Amino acid sequence: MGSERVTLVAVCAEEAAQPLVDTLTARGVAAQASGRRNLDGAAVTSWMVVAGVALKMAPDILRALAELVREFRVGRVEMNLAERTFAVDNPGPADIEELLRQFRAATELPAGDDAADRPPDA
Amino acid sequence: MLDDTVLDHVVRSQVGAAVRTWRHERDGHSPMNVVLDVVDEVIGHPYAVYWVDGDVPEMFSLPGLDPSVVLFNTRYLEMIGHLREIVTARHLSPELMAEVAEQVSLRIIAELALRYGDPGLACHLLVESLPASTTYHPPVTLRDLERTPVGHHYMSVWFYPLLHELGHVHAVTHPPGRPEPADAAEHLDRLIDEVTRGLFAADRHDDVREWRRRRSRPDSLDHGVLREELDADMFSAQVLYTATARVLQRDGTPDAFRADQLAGEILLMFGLMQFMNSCVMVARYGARLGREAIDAFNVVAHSVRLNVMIDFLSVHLASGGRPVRGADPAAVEEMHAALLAMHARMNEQFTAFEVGHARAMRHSVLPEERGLNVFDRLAEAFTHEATAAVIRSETERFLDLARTLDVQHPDLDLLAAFVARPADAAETLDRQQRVFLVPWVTGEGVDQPFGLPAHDELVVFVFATQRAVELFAEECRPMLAPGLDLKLAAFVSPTNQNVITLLFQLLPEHRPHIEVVFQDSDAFTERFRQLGDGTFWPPE
Repeated sequence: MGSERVTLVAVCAEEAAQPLVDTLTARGVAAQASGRRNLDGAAVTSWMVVAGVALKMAPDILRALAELVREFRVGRVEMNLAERTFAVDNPGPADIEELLRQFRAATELPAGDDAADRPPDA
Repeated sequence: MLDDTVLDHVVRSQVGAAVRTWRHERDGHSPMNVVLDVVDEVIGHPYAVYWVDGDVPEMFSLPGLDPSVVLFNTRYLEMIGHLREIVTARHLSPELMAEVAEQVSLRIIAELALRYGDPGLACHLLVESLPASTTYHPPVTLRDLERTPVGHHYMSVWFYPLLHELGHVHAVTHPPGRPEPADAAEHLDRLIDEVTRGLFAADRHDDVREWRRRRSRPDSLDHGVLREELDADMFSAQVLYTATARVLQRDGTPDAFRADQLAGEILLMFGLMQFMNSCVMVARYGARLGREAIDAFNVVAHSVRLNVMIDFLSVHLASGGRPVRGADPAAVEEMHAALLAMHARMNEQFTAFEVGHARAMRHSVLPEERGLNVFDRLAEAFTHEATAAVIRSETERFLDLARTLDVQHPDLDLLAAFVARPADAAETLDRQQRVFLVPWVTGEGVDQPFGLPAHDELVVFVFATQRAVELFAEECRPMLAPGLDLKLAAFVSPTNQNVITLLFQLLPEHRPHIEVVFQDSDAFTERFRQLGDGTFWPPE
């Protein structure tokens, strides 16, 4: 399990994209953001933030997102692990916590034994 | 740089649940690889092209990622190929062309609505798209496109949209000049102004300017947005020229390359892609998805881009594809006139198509213009020998798409039952009939469905149970003006969509926006929550 990785995909408005990237970067996760450019020539309205995250880091990242969605509207958060997808639409902090609970249960990540339970700057 | 696993997940997150996706491998010397070889020579940024098979006709890119991701959608290819077949068909009279255009436009919008989260509307539009008579233009499949001889037509249908998306990747390392040079900004403003004057009457033109001045977010006429599109347009045309010449050279037929013919194909694709764009826009609107983000000036931006493309192609043709500074002004002028004439001829072909396409647009956006009882007509058509086979295969294909997208809905079940037992379609439909209860206001010259005025629209509540509607009516009666009374009306229908169409037809022509919400739906629950906490009502 130690080397497994999760793909985080967050769909958001442009103003939330950079704060999301900054939040992930502050936790040592290399994240990227891009506008989704449709063929219709319209202004970009949807942004995606993408990162590969070590499985053990995932709870920490989700907790950081739970804080972030208090301030910025995020349309969807997805955690992809191999063929499994854990997702929540238009999440508030409680929805992200619920996503974290489902994620822990499905991956058998123990509560209290991962980076999530350490303060980010510890 | 994002690794393959992350890229795969990103792509999967953007398409339907069971849609097939795979990264394009650069094996062999296929036309696509020749195109991508040319792209590699100019692009300067890593990119990954993913095939998407079995999704709705949508193409897009994520140029800001490293590598950038471009989705190459087979359904988009089929649909753009189908549109091209129809528009260029010499055997269709204007009336038949309009009829076929309406069918295919409705079909495209139906598929998109399925993806955008309104399966009821999607099913309704699908049924409207099915041929009521023997007028039918068989769809173009990927296999048909593969069998097309490799030439100007083949190259433009297969690769022009893909190259446009790759043009946005090109912009990652070659962004439009910032700040925008003053003369370029003035030129663009002048062009926008001229196009707007051409499209709108004088007073509307001033309204448009004022509306845009007050906009709160960028639209497709913003210089930043427009210049990125123009750069992608020119990138795609330029690469297509080089790649087509190389492919014909590879095939031993370099003399078959005709720069003017390819220019015609590019202008044709430009028009067809705009038909696809308008389908996307109305599908989003019809499905109430991002209604506020509808870009009303897309059509103006498209005309601006078309003008710039004609200018670009004139120079390109006049200079024989060499750097633009080498072009002789008189030759450019001559090419410009020739391209305008070519476009005018193309417009004649487009005119009949546009009649049917516009009808499809209106049906999607205006419920009152949709057909009533379309499932009754479909049930009957399933029993007619002349139409049953076509209707069945088209419906099956739509149901396959719904399964791929993992969309479930009672109207999809109804269609599936028709397909499973076509001879029993009428009986199946009878069993599906339900009673819908609607509060109805009468008196003082009023006789119409009752709605409550919310923030931005009139909400009509449709109930499934007698008890609920009576309680609602009891609560609402004291709100009525003197002389008005609240009664109940019952409608029998197999689908919610049919009730929506009927209610819109029964409401006065000049009215605010209407939202119809059905008992037990999320929208109904949300509206009742708003009534409960007082957030439903417009500000005093």
